[in-house]
Amino acid sequence: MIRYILKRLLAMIPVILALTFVVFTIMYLTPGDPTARILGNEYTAEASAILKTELGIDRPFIVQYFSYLGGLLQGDFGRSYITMAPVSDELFARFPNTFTIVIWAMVFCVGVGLPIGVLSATKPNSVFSNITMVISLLGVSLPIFWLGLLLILLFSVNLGWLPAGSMNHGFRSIILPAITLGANYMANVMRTTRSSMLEAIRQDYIRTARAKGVDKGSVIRKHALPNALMPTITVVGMNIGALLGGAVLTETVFSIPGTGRLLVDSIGSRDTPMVLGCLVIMAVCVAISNLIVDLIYAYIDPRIKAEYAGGEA
Amino acid sequence: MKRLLSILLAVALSAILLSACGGNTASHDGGDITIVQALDMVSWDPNATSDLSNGYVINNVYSKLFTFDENINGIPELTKEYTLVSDTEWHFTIYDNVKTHDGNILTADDVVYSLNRTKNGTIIGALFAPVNEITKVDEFTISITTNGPYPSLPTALTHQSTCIVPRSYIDHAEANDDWSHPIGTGRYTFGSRMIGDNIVLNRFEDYYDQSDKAMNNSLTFKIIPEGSARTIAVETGEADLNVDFSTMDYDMVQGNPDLTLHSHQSQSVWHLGMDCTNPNFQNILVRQAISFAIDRAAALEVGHNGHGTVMYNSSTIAPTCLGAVVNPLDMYEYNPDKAKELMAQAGVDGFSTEIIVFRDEAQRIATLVQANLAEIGIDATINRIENAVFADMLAANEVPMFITSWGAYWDPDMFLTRRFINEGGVNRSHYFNEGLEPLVLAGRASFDNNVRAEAYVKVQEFMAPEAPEVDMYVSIMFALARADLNGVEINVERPHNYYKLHY
Repeated sequence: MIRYILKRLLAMIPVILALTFVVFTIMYLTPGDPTARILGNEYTAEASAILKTELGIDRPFIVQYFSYLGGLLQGDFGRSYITMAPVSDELFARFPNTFTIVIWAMVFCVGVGLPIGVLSATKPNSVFSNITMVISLLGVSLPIFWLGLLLILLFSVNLGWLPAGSMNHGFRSIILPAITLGANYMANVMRTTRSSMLEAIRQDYIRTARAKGVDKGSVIRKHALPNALMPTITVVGMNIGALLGGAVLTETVFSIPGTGRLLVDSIGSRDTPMVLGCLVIMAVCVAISNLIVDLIYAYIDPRIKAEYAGGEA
Repeated sequence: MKRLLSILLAVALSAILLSACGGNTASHDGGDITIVQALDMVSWDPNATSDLSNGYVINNVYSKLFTFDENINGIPELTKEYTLVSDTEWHFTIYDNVKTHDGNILTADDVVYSLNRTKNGTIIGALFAPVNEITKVDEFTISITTNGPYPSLPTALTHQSTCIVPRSYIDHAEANDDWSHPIGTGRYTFGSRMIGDNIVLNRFEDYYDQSDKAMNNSLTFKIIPEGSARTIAVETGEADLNVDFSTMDYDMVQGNPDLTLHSHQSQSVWHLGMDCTNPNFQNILVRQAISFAIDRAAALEVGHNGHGTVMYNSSTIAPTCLGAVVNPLDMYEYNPDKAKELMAQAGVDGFSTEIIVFRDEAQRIATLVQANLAEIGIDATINRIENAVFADMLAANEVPMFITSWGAYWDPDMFLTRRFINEGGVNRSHYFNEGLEPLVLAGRASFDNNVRAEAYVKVQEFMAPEAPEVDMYVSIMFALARADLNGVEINVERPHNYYKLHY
């Protein structure tokens, strides 16, 4: 198992290198440069040329890329073209905010979506089941931006219960962003759990267990749920990347200084080192979370664990 | 018993009054003020950028020889007195008790070192082009010589890149390539900064002018890019002042007793520019036709919900600038028939072109302009681009028409050369006419503002028939504040003088 994990971790290296190359190329080919933002109304071609030399962005593509890569391999993400601050400083200051929101959004989508999905499957065609289906449809349909603003208007402006933004109010700051970010994925988890549970409880072994007198709760908990969980885990794992992407909008609506907002701002100002820094961090997160999902598969399903062990041999 | 009750009541009332007085005393403390703005600052190095959001933050930590008034006109700050020794030499004497945040006294050496760094940098650009030499005269006096009369020098010295940074800090910051903990002489000391989120400044108790020190304890700049989120931050009391108020929220805040919407006429000139080197716009009659074809009042309505003043200039001189004329030669008004006549006179049936925009307001105006141009046979498509691309596209003559705003200084000399004489840069219309330069230089030749105003009237009359751009309107500047916040001041560019904010 350890060899499997190491293999997966090593496989991340070419992925990250490919990512840096693709992103660097796109940023290089994209029209515009950071000097427009820096110089503002004092922009002249001469001033821009001097600045480009100072920033090193007038060098050939290959030289720029390998210079960046050389630094990256030594753990140096470079400096922001705009603020001149080390990229790593900004990333380490902001990433915990994004991470916190994403984790709480996952807690929300699993904590709410999973039990409702299970309950809805155990009582199909009931009023409760129909209501949950409507809620899940709404959850999938509501745009993050709109939902976030609506929640702010209700809970911050009108009721005054929760802060409208920033991360200065402890856990209270996280509630609305986590719900906003998690709503869509909560609906996905709910629907997936419901359909896989419906399939599981129609299986023969469930009928057999019931015939042998096992109570309904135990049948659901011990027999149906573990078998129905695999698709849900897959959905949750796949959603981590999407949640990181959704954090861009959530951070904008709730004025949270996270890597998502930093990424958007940096693209706008053509701050290539910062864009790369954000994307590398996000890619590492997605890769690690996928690995964790695979390990959870192995934990839940002994057949998969045996497969991993077989690969090891 | 009644008497006893009366005495007790009187004592209680006195206690309440006294505590209320105590509260007032506390309120003179000013409180901690949170300001929300759309963009983060860029750097504490004054020579790193000329970005507007940057200037309005660093101005609180650094002082300059001159600050600006509500029209962005230079008024003394560190300068105790200044004299014009000759037409080309100025002497500036600073106060002798100006303390830096690390406890030293600011001297002429610091000022000369700092300003020479500015002069040799790339940010000040054309504003320091006439400056020849900056030297020390005595411990607190410096001399600036120019290559000719330069009456706008005090206003040039309000630019953010002229912030005076003590020499010791410049050396330290440059040696370590680290400007993150600035030392200045301003009303605030640096507290902390989280890039992209907030900047905290604390009142500098040893500010040299004790009668004019900060009225609040601290300033926190909170960065909120989204317009409605900024409004909500003030509405919920999380912030005290929104300096980048979006007019889209105008109706939303009306009638809210907890909020006050402050406003001030700006000098932001919203204009339709044309590339005068583009074959379609080389013909002066076509440019005039376009100027007649644009319904400026409607543009103001769609661009800024009617909050502003219509103008008919062609040289970006806002109505409140020195020597401004709202409609030079009374030449333009909305007159599509006249526009069609001019197009016919030019022998142009019509053509296809492109309007480049990169801001929401400009995009709204562009839709109207597109319809106006269609009436005279010009088929324009609207292309929204990113701000970062605009400068490159302009330099490559890839912007046949564009809509944006220009924040004008009160003194036209600060921008006329850059906008209509020099090649490249912010001469976005790529306009050139040998006849203009002597007129602009005439405005610089005198130190008498009446004489200068007359010169700028002539510039505007020269530019009216040239019509390299259609100046449509100046917008009103808004700032949303908590109703009980005192000291809100707005200049023609942005809310300013944050040190006066207090509760």
